Amino acid sequence: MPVDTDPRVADEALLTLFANGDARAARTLTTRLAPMVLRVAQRMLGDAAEAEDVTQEAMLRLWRQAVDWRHGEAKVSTWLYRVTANLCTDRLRKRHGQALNDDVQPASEATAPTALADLQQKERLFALDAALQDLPDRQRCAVVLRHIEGLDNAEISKVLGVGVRAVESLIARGKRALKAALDGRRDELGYQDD
Amino acid sequence: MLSASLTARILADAKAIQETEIRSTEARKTPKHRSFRQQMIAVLWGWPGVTGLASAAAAGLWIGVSQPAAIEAFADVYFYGVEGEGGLEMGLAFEILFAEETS
Repeated sequence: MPVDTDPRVADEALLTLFANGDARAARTLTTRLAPMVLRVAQRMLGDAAEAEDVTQEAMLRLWRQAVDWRHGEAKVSTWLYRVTANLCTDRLRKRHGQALNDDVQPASEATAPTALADLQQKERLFALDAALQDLPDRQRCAVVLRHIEGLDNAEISKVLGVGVRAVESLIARGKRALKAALDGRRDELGYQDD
Repeated sequence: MLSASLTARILADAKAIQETEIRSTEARKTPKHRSFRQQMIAVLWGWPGVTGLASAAAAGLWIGVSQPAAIEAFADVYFYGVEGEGGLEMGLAFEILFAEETS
């Protein structure tokens, strides 16, 4: 079994290897963790180039944290989700000059996967992305972590630094807003056939 | 999916950190002496979330602060599944390390 898919090898152990100078640990951690950072950043920012920059910055912070990592206190993935969420929030604030929880503008048409726009599934995904971009930052982050990344509410509460009940509320409000945004497009997106 | 260029940027950062910040940090550190048994207890019982092979790798790494050769051998077996020149096998790695305590 490849190292990066071997569940017996904990991220923390790899981080310790990295802190002791093993370059192979960096590659394995990158393979394992960077894609999830990129996914969240893309959903949060709606911009591929910015998402890549955030991914590089989040991983850089992980490398810097390796020597001082406090084993057993937090999962590496949770720590990285938190860093990613904060980096994205900072960028959104700068982009729109709005306070946390303010609505952000929808993703521009320029970010649409135009080459695949004829495919219904891609259209659905794009519609979902666009609707996600309309959510307030923290609602969007909570929805992405819960329903796209598959984190449980307890872990999301650690990422966002809020209580579990607040997470439940963020997700519930986010899902209601998504439903409201997408309900009017059911026919357009072909959901009448499902 | 990570692009090749992004992967390269991330790994370049990692290498730079290892070559500068981590190396300088290690140079400043003067770890207080603990017996091998104390180190093993600290790693194995003070770090319950890490099990199996990961424990072996992590324990070796932890110990590797004072025993770099041992952790290099661990890492080779861990990543490549190969034996080093000394014929180290994963199943015997801990026995060898324990033996060092009494040798």
